[in-house]
Amino acid sequence: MTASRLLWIEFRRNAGIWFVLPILAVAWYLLDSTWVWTPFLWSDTNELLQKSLILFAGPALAGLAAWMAGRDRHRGVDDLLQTTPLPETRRCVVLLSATALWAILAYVIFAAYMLGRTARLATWGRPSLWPILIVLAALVAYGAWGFLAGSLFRSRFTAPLAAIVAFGVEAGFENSSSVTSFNSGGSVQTVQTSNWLNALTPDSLSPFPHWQFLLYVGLTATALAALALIYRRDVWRIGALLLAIGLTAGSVVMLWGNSRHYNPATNVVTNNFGQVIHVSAPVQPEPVCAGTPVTVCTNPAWKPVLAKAVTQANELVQPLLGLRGVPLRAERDDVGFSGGRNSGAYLNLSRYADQLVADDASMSKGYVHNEAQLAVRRWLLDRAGITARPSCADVAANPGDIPDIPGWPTAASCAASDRFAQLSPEMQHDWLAAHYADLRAGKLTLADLP
Amino acid sequence: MRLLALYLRSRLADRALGLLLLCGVVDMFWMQHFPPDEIWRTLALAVLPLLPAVVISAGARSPFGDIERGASRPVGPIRLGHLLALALIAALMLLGASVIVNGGIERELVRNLAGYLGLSLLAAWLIGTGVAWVIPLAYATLAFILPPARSLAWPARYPLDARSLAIAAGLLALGLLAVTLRGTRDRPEERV
Repeated sequence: MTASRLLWIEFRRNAGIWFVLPILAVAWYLLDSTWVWTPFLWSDTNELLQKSLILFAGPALAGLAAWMAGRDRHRGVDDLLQTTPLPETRRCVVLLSATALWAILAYVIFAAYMLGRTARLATWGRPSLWPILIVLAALVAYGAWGFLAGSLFRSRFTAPLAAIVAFGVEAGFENSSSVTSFNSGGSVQTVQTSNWLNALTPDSLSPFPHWQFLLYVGLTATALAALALIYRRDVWRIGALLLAIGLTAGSVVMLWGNSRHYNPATNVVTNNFGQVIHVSAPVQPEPVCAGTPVTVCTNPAWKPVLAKAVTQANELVQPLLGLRGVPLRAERDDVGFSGGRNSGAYLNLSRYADQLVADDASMSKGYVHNEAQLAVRRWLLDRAGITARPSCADVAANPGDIPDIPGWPTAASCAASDRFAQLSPEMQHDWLAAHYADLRAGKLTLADLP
Repeated sequence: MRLLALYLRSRLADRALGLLLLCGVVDMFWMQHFPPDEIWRTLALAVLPLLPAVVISAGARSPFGDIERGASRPVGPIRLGHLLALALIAALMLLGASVIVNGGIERELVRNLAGYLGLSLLAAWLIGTGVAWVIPLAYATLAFILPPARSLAWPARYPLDARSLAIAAGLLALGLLAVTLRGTRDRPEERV
């Protein structure tokens, strides 16, 4: 019987079929209700394609493979199968492959949905192959280790324990962090950062994905070589096991050595090999611009929400049209992106609103701090229907909790804004025409507002 | 007494007990070596009670099937006693580990043991003990990721509140009831 025919038989008669829907359901639930997936961003899709499925699918496959490893014994046919000419190792590899294929099928369905939707909606960027390859390699590694556990410990307790231990190890590595202490202004500060153990888990992408990929290939090879040794011990199999362990250990060393540390005291990034890493700023893509009289320019990846931002920007600037010195271009730092599921994503124009009421010289550390400017800014945002946090409602609800930070509204500026909103449009326009230049220069106080 | 001894042997109670003791060692190691911050607490609440819960539900498997239903004495009370005794031992393990290292999460661990055990037993009744672990594993994965404020994430709730306790107790009661009255859905011809 050819290997492909045997694989097809094992694939059809495999408990893995019952795991496809649970894997898809958990991955979909996590994607839909916990992580915010903006389907038109390749960056989001690449990241979530990696982390949505593996957290459950990996441990579930480990448990399933451990269960399947004992299948022949459960059915009482292991002695009978010993008499067949096919080597036991090959039979195990075929059974493991068929079991892993069901989990891989679930991943392919999930990936096809996410990639297809993003390919239809995205305006910039491209899919990344590494996260996909890493998840596939990790799934096979989970399966191989589960199968090895099931072959070594033939007990009803092996499958559940293999699954839970795999879950604990994965979640533990994913959440491992380091505490770094440094001296800042005479006092010792500590920061908590993710550490190199994160790179060992398949749901976080290392800056060196090829080592991560090789790690899972090495883990799979180690489990298979150990499996082969269970049935026959010869020098070739021992050599294969040592080679696989070497590949795994080498990948771990490379991931550890290349993990980066930022030292806030010296402002230097180094890796564990002691090399200084020079981090260059990412190259900014050519922005896309749209709109008149206000032109909004943004990253081409955010183009699907540009039209909505143009409408909001024109609504924002509408009371100021015709006045001298009104900025009619919102670009780069003035336009931020806020992710959200489906239609929840939008471009944040609150920094553009800052530019409308304050010139650069009147700002403090890049933020509006003059109360007259804050009052007019809030009025402009409110009438355009743009919510900026913390809002005046937040100030009213928690007067003691809002710190006095530049850019954050005060109770007095909120009250002045409410008064200004009650004026007629003509009175608002007349006041702005007379005081706009002084307002932007930061020369007005709340007492100057009508 | 002989019936009880034979019943416990058929459920591999000795191995289950050994594994529960091993789980206790893992609990101690975990709590001593990992920082008690929010992430590790959530992870401990997800993983540590899950281990004994799946061991107990896997041990509920009957190797006799319908033959057992024809026994002269009802096995329901023995099933219940067996499950409750193992659950009690697992709860004591979790309590002891948390109290000894001053983990401060003993009540939450016991709550989660009850909830996960209930889920495992319900799954064992519905789909059999072989793959019953997949339901509590899926639930633990969701509870680990979901914000604790949501009712669905009751295992991640800290400190213990009445709502999460009621959900866990309800699941345990349902699971015990299902397995005590109906047994697990396993094929007796399979040797596990």
